[in-house]
Amino acid sequence: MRFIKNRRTLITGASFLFFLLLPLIASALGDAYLVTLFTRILIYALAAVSLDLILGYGGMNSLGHTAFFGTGAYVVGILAFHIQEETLFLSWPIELSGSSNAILVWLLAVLFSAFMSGLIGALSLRTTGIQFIMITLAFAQMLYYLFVSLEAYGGDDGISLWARNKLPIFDTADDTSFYYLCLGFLVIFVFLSYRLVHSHFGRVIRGAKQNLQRMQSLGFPIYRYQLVCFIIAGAGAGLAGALMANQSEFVSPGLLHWTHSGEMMIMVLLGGMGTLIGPILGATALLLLEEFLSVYTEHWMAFLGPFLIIVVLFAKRGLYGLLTGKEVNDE
Amino acid sequence: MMSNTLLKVRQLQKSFGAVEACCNINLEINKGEIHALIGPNGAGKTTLIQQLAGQMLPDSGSIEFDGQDITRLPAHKRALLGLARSFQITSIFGQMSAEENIALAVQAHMGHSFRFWRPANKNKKLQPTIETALEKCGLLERRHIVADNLSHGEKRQLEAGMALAVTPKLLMLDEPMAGMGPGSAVKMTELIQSIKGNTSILLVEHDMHAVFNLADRITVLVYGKPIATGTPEEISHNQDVRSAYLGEGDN
Ligand SMILES: Nc1ncnc2c1ncn2[C@@H]1O[C@H](COP(=O)(O)OP(=O)(O)O)[C@@H](O)[C@H]1O
Ligand SMILES: [Mg+2]
Repeated sequence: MRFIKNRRTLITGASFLFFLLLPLIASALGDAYLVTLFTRILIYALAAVSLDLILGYGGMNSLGHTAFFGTGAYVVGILAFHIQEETLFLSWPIELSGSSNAILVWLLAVLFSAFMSGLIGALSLRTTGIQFIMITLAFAQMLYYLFVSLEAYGGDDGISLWARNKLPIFDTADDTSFYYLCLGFLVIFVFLSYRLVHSHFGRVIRGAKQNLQRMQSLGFPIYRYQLVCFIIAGAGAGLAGALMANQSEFVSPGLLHWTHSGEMMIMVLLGGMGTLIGPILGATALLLLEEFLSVYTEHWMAFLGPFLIIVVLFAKRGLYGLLTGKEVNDE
Repeated sequence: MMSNTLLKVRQLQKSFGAVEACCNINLEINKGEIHALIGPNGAGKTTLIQQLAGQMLPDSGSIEFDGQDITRLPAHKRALLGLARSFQITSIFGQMSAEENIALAVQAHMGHSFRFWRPANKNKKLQPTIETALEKCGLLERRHIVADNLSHGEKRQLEAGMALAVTPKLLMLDEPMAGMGPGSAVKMTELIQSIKGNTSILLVEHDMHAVFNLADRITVLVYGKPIATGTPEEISHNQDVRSAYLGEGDN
């Protein structure tokens, strides 16, 4: 017991230290691209942790998580678009312009993603099992096609941003600063999630994953709890999406494609479902593998596939489980 | 005058296709009594409990609990009214410790759980109730064991422990002793005896020794129909029951 706990602390601490020092490593190696790559990793890690809240802790197998990631990204994209075009976002009933104010835009991205996940969750959570997977998938695809058809916002081609959203004092245009900003958001989100899963609310969510019927017969109106969890996860994904739009200075409907949900799901499975550090490891491993394999072959997925299957089959808790010793329970 | 009846089931009817699992069931459970429900496999005992607890809706008929019509009330609301059940097929939270299983049962009755910040396992308010329940179901020493790793008997104790943790008004136990060794069955009998009084109990059980020891009244269900209700004495002498169920010549 003691040993496992120490190994967990060790891995958490080592990961944090690694991410903290990465820009220094990159500059020592003279490889600035590393910072960009790891910024993406941090952002996907944030999305994957949020997905794990519903997938690993809540047992809600959503294949539509990217809908909220995409929503967050498009809030940034659309508001930037109107600044760039010098047009109004809304002219009636009130006049609203675009914005490049990071605090305002990101807050809107989070709120709007939460709102969307409230809508989609309220309907999807009336179902369970395979139906739930299909309906979340269907909603995400609907949004995907919606944005494909929105010619005003570039349709298929998406929107290119001229610059990142701006913060007071902090220089978001600087890649290293932006990296640390993303790291900060990830750390905060993981900490909040840690409190969440150990709280009374978290216990209810974990209970619902393990035995829905029993939860109801104990007296829990479980739908409400699942919905709130779904919204929290959607808000997290929305923040990740907003950061992603800023990192790449580009948004497109591809962000909402269901394969993108699949990738997030793979990150969670690969890293370790029902753990908070696992999805971070999973995002890191998947994106690094993708990066290096795609140098050698276009068909990197064909090589990645078997690797994923092996990890998921042999390590119940993914990479995190392998590193900490297998049978860790939800924590 | 206050009514002495806690649960009133009238004309309850439930079919699965051609199978009439419950036909025209009338049943009354008094406050404080242990009411045993016996009958052969497939008689409809579990189906009745499912409808009483709200996991399943009846085709027709009504259920009144503590003066309130609950026929169509969702399961979680019935639980909060004081109607608790245990399951014939063990239904626990496998990856949680025995203590956390009980804690969930207690937490359900302590107001809403939209509490996101403080660690649940440090909540001092739940602790006394949890410990009492753990002690009652005999798992105090095994509290930190993950439920999946408990023995079969212990899982059954936990199953019952979750149902009685919050002192329900009516506790429905669906074959609590199924698959238990003799030692554990005796413990379960003692447990049921000890909670009698404040809590009424609907006991479904095949162990006739336990049933005749514990029950104040017994209802015999055959093919979805109650064929007799009475004290253990009356039931053991009832000719219909003897031929239909207990087996002529036994006892
Ligand atoms: N969900 C169900 N679907 C179809 N038939 C069922 C279902 N549940 C129970 N039954 C049938 O109803 C009858 C009563 O079953 P049950 O209530 O489990 O009996 P008991 O608990 O007395 O052994 C049986 O014939 C059983 O096959
Ligand atoms: Mg049964």
